[in-house]
Amino acid sequence: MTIVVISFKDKAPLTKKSIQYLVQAMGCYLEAVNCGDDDARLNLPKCMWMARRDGDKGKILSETLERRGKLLPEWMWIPWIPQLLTSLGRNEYHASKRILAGICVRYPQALYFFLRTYYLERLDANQNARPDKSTGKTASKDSTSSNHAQELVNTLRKSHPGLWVAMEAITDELINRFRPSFEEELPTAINALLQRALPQKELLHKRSVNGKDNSQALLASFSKTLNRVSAKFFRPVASDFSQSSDHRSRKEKEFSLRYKEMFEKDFLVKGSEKSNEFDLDIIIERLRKWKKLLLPQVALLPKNLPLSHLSPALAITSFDSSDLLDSQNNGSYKLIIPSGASREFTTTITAAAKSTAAAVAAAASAEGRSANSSPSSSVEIPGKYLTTLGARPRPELHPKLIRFSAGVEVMQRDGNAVRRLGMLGSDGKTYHFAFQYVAPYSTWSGERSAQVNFLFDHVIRKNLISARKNYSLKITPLIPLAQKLRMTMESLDEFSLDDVFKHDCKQHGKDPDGPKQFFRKEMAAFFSEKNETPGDSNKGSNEVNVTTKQLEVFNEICRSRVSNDILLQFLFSKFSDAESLFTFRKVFTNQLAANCLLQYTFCATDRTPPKFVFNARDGEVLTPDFQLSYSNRGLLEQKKLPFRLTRNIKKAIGETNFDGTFIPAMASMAGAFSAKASQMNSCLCLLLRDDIISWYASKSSVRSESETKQLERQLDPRILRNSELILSRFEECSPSIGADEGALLDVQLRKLIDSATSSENLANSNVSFQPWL
Amino acid sequence: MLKVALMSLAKLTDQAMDVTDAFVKLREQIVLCRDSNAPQEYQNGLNIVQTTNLSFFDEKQKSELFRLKGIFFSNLKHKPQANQAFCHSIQICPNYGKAWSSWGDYCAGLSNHIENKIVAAGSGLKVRCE
Repeated sequence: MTIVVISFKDKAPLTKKSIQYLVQAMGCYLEAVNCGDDDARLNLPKCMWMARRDGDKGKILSETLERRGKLLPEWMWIPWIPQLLTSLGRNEYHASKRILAGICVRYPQALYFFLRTYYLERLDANQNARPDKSTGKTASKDSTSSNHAQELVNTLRKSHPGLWVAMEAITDELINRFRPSFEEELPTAINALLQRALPQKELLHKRSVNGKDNSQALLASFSKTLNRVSAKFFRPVASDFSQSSDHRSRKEKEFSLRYKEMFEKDFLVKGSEKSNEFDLDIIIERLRKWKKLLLPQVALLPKNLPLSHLSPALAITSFDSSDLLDSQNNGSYKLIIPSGASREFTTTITAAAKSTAAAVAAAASAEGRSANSSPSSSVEIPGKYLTTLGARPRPELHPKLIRFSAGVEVMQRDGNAVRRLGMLGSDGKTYHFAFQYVAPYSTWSGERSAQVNFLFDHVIRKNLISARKNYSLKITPLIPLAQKLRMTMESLDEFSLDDVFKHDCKQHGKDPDGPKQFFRKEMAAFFSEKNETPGDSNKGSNEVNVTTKQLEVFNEICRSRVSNDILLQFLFSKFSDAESLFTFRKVFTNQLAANCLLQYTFCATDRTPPKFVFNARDGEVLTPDFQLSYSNRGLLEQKKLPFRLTRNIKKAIGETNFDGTFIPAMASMAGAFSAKASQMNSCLCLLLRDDIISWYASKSSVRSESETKQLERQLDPRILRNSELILSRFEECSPSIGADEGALLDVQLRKLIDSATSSENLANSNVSFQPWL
Repeated sequence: MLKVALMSLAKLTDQAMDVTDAFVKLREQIVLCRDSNAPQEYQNGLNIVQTTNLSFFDEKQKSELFRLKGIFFSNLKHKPQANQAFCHSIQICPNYGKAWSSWGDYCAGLSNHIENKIVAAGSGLKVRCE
C-alpha cells in the first residue's frame, strides 16, 4: 500500500479511466438484460442513471446506451417511459429517442398518452420560458426536447395512422369536455389557499407567543398568489362576447363578469385598500366567505350526467374488436342471444364472447406470430401496460374499448367535483376512470408513485420470505391527459377514510367538520387568551402550554366527538360473514403495512383522510396523491408522524393482526427492499431526479433547457442524499440484531409505530390531518 | 448464525447427492462466506471455490463458481484476478445473465473508486491507493 497525492494534472486521465469503466459496466448490464434474467431488468434504470456522467461534451456513455439498448426488446423499456421522455432534454437524447421510436412502432398505446402530454408540456414551457441568461436566447429557439418529442409524435402518427386518428379524437374530446369549469376550479384554488393559510395562522400564533413575527413576508407571498389566481380566472373580457361561438369561452366570460370585481375588491388585487388593514385573519375570513359562496354551486351539480349531453361525440363512439376473431374463426362463430335481452346486455355478451375467442386464438398463435407483425389498431383500455410490468405485454390480449358508458358520475371529493366515466371493454368489464384536475407537479408524480409501487412490488415478490407470505402491492394506473388533467383507473368499491367518516356523520346527524371546527375554536381561544397576557415571556413554558392544550382538545374530541370504531363498523356492514371479514382484515393489514412503510421511507406528505383509500372488496390500500415532502433545500424532510396509523385504522385491523401480521409484514418487506439496496439505489435516483426537478419547477418560473441541465447538476448531490436516506430508512425498519442482548429484532420499527400512535404527536399534527379519525 | 448455517450444511452428506444437489450445497456454503462481510471468511470462501473439482458440473454451474470467485477476489482487492475470473465465467457460459451483472457491478465499483479519488484530490486530501 502506498500513499499518493493526486495533482490537478492527474485528474483528466483519471476521469477518462472512470468513464471507460462505466462504459464497460453499462455494456455488461445491458448484456445481462439481453440474457433474459428477470432481476437484470433492474439494470436498465442503472444504465439510464449512468448516462448522466457523460457531462456536456462527452457522449461515449449515451452512444453505448444507444448501440446496445436498441438490441433489447422494446417492451423492457416500457416501465421507464416517463424517464426516457425527460431524457429527451438531456445529452443522452439520441439513445432515448431511438428506444422510444422502437416503442412507438411496437407498442404505440403504451406510449401515446405520455408522449402527447410531454410534447404539449414542452411546447407550453417553451412559450413561457424566460430568456437564457448565458445565451440570451429564448427557449423556443434552442429547445431540443420539444423537437425530439415532435419527431416521435410524427413517427407514431405515420406508423399507426388509423389508431392515431381514433385516439386523438377521443383524447381531445376527453380533455375538452371533462375539464372542470371555472365555477368548479375556483373553489379548488380557494380551498388550497385556505389549507395553506390555516396552518400558517397556527404557526404565526405560536411564533407570536414566542416573540417571533414574520407575518409581512407571509402576507406578501399570499398577495402574490392571489394576484396569480385573479389573473388566471379573470382575464380581460371582450365587450362583444355574445358573438363568441364557443360555449365554454362564453361561460368563462360570464363567470369573469360575475365575480371579477368582487374578488379584486376582497383580495386587494388592485391595491384598493391600504395594506396595513390586510392581515392573514382577514384573508382567511374572506377565503371562507368565497368558499361558502362557491361550494353550493359545485354541490348543485347533478350526481349523474348523461354522456350524450356532456359529449355527444363520445356517446355515439363505438368500436368493433373483431380483428383477431375474424382471422381465426372465418365467421364460423355464432353467438345466440335471447330475444328479450337488453341492449347493454347484448353488447356486453357479444364483446365478451369475441374477446374470449380472440384470447384463445391469440394464445394458440402467440409464439408463432412474426416479430414484425403490427399490433392491433383497436383502441385499448388505457393503463394495461402498467399492470404487466414484469412480463412482456400482449397488446392483442388487452381489453379493447367497445364504447363509453351512458352516464357520467360527478363526485364531490374534498370540495372538488370529480367526474367518473366508464369504458366498456371487449372482455365484458366496465373500467372506470376518474378525471382529476391537478397541479402540474402532480400530473407526473402519480406516474412516479406507480413506478415506486412497481419496484416495491417486484422486490417483495422476488424475496424468499416476503414471497412465502404472498405480499404484493397494487399498481394504480394513472394516465396523464394534459398538463393539468389526469385519468385514474378506479374501482367502484374504493372508499376513503373521509367517505367512511362522512357516511357515519350522515347516519348520526353530525357535522363532519364539527371536530375540526371545535379544535380550531379551542386553540384560537387559547391563543387569544395568551396574547392578552404579554407578561409571560418564557418561551419554553409557552410551548409546553400549547402542547398541553392541543393534547387536551385532542383527548376531548376522542372522548366525546369521534368514535374509534367508525371504520370497523363500516367493514361489519360490508361483510355478511365472519370468514370474509377475517380474510379481508388479513389482506388489509398486509397492504396497510406496505403503505405505511412507503409513507415513512419516502417522507410522503400528510396522509389526510381523503388520501387514505382502500378497496372494500379485496382489502387493497391505495396511495393516491403520493407526493414526497421536501425541505426548502430540496432534501426529504423528517416528520414527527412517520405514517398514518390513527385510532380507527388500528381498531379496524384489530390487536391480534396488529402484533401478529402488521409488524412482521412491515419488517419483512423492509428487509426485502434493503437486501436489494445496491440495485435499488440507481432506480431511486432516477425517479427522485425527475421528482425534484418538477418540484423545483413548480416553485419557480419556467426555465430554459440549459438552465434545467445546470439545475440538475446542482441537485445531483441532493438526489444521491435523498436516495441514501430512503434506503437507510428501509434498513432501519428491517429486522436486525441490535447491540443490546435480548432486544427485539424489530425494536426500531416498534419505536416508529409508537411515534405514529403517540397522542402528543397526533395532537400536534395539522388539523386537516384529522388525527382523531 | 453463520457457524450454525455452515454446520447444518456440513451435516448434509455428499454420498447420497446428485450433482445438482451437491452444487446447491456447495453454492450455499460459498454464498454464506460471501455475505459474512469478514475478510477471513472471504478467504475461506475463495479456498472452497479453488479446491473444488469442477469437472462434474455443467457450464452454467461452472460459470456461477467463477463468478463467485470473481466476487471474492474483488472483495479481497485482488483486481486483476477478479477481472480474470469474471472474464472466465462469461467465456464458459456467455448467456449467463448473473455473470454479466456481477462483472458490471465490479466495473461500476472501479469507476466509483476512481471518482472518490478525484473528489478526495479536489479537497486536497491524501489518497490511499493499492
